[in-house]
Amino acid sequence: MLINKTGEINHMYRERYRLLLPNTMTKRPSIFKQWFEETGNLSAFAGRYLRDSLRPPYDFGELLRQAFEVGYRSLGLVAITAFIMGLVITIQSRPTLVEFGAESWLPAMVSVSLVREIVPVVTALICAGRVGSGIGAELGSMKVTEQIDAMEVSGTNPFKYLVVSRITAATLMLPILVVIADAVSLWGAYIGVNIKGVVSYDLYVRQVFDTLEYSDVVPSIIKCVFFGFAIGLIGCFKGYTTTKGTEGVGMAANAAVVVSSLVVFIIDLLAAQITDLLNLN
Amino acid sequence: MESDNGNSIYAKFANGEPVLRVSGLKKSFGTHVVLDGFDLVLTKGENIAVLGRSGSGKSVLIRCLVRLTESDEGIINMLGLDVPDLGQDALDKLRAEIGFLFQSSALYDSMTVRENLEFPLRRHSKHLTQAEKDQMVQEALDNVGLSDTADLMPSELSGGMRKRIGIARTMIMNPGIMLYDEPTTGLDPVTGRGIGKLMLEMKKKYNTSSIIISHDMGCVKQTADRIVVLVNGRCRALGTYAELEKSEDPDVHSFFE
Amino acid sequence: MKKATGNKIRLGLFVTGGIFLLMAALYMIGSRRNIFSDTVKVTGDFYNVDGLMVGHNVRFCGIDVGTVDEIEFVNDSSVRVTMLISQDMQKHIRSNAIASIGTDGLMGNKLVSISPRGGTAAYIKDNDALETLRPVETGEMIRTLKVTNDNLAAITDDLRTITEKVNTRNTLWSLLLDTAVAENVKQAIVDIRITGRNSAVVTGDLSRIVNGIREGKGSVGAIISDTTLYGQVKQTIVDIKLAGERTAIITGNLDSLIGSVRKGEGSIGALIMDTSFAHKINKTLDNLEDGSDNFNQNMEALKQSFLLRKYFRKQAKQQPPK
Repeated sequence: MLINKTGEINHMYRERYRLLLPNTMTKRPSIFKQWFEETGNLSAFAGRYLRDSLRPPYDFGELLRQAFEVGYRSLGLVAITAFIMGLVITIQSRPTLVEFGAESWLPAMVSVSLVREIVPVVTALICAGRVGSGIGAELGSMKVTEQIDAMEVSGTNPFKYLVVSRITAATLMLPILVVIADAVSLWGAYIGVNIKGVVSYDLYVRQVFDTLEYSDVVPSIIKCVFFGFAIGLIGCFKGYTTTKGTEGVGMAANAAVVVSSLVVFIIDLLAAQITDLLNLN
Repeated sequence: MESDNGNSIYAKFANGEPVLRVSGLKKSFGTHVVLDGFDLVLTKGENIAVLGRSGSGKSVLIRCLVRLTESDEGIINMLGLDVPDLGQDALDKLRAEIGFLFQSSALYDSMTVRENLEFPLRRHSKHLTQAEKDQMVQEALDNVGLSDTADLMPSELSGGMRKRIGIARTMIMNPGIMLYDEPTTGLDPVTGRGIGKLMLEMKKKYNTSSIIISHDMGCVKQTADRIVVLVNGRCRALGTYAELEKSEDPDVHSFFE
Repeated sequence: MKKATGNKIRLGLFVTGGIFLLMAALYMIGSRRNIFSDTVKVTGDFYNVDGLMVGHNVRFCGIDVGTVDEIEFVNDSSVRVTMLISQDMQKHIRSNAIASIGTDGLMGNKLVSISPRGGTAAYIKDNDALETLRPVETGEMIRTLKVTNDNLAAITDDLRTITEKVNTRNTLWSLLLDTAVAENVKQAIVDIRITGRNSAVVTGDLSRIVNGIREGKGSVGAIISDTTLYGQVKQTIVDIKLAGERTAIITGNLDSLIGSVRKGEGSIGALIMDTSFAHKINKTLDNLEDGSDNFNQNMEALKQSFLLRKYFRKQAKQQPPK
């Protein structure tokens, strides 16, 4: 299993004595084998999360702490990014629309692309960077400094305390972050629209909400639930299964960011296809 | 004279009765054999030091005792319970009777000293009021002589202080059996002696039995009643400090040079 | 402890703010679709809704007043559109208003446009049915134009036949020594031909009228193809020429009108329906008829004159009557 210390230490020893042993004994597993092993372990990890998250006792205190960490603490960064995205997308879209003489469609077009795609994905990437690496590094260092072991021997289920709270917090907070980021980005777009043109606030709001449909907003929020889950899951997985001491902590944080960013895009692709399949566009 | 926790299993054992029996314990990682039939008996009120070189499997031994690492084979009987066969709930219950001091102290970085000490209580002593918890925390800190550090973060503490807080955190549950993983490693001799002294004080105050993993002979001499020398995954020698000092076995003797 | 409480408050603010924003956004989107406000339901039966969909806007005098709620078939040639109209607008729309299907801008969404028709009809209430206008359809316009084209072809054919007859039968020319007269006749014929060609652009009405001319007594065709003509017919020719010229003038008008249609001033339908225009055409043809009447009269006079009486008799004997 994945928290099998046997396997990890085995790996550790093998790495340590690699140079002394014959080549065949130290051969690293092939990339495919590694990939499948990693995917299997990740799935088992997710399964354990689902099981443990439903079973009492629930640790609300830690959940709130993590929610604060993931949600509130990311707000500033996410808001700045969203504002800039709103502004930039508007400025960049204007020339094309002007060419078609459809400048008045700017708020409508920009709001749809922001709400449906840009803000959720950019927010998720920011969170993958901030939250994913944070979780990966924190759990990784707890792992290598035996803090997770210490929790285990003190009779607390560290998986529940550390992993369940973090994944749940990320899953719940990301959609809220995205809603706020949507609002901020639309505000940025309003300023963008008014840099070269003049659109009153009332007209802008009217055009934006005239264009937006439930089928724009709701799927994008649902998508974010999965983004949050993926970011929390991968950050925790990479951190919780860290080996090789302090070097491993850096690798865990790095892998958490890289993998969760990639997974965000994969989920986005799937979400686009599913909404398309369900005719929600 | 004894201040055992009234409800604990440990309290039911009389002094001198074995509280831990290990026999034929085997553990290997792949082809690398770490423990190869290790035997040990710990009686109540006794401190046993396990001597061994780096990588000889000392840490693996005590990790196996609390099932942080699963053993391959052999009997581990702790407080009359067969450790390898315990279910999660029974294991958690047993673990509450055992204190484990990690080499790195393993204080939770994100919590204050007070929260660190309260952490083990959350699972096992839910019925406690905040006032009772505060009192227990204060008592534990007083025991290790760091009464006014409750609101500091672990990063603000020195290595010796961290060890003491680590001891306080394990002692707060009133454990019967203490497992020390290299308690003095990385500390200067004076601080190390201070920790050794504290370990003896705790033993005296709470009548604990301990297994001390170390290669610091000063600490071993100071704290251990008996010494086990671990060589090639087996118990090579067993005896008091004075007995083993005279041993002619080169593997044993090398520790006493 | 204090810090932890502060964090909880901040987290609470954050979560509440996020959920509030989401609710507000969903409400605003919903209110634009009249989901949350009070509405009045009215219907209109259309022959063709031209791609209108549920959710499209309903406008009254160009103001958004509601949305399309439902589109369903009543029978094979009638589609019922149910519209939700904001209750605030109820006191402005009378039940005799006319609903039509239009487009928002050049390539925008379809919409239902409600236009007031004045009067003092009661204001709309729930489940009222509005009168509807058939939408102006490009497809139908093109079908109409095709009919016009067919008619045009028929007219051109007729006129060509007439012209050929005039050109090939030399009797008239050989009898008339006066070249000036011949010139006049030729010119008149040319004018008529131009008239015919130009007037062919117009509607089926014109075609019917022209057919009438061909069949009726004293029609242009009959006059022109009459090869039994003798004597001095100068006056008559002049008359014909005059009529031809008038037709040409009217044809000119026609041209300019058609030109303005091409430029997009006013709809083709409106032009075609213009009755004053049809009157003009009728008058033109009346003139032509007048001309031929005069011609007939002159002919009768010629027959009676002593100079030609003999020739006419001889001619009558040689040619058996048709």
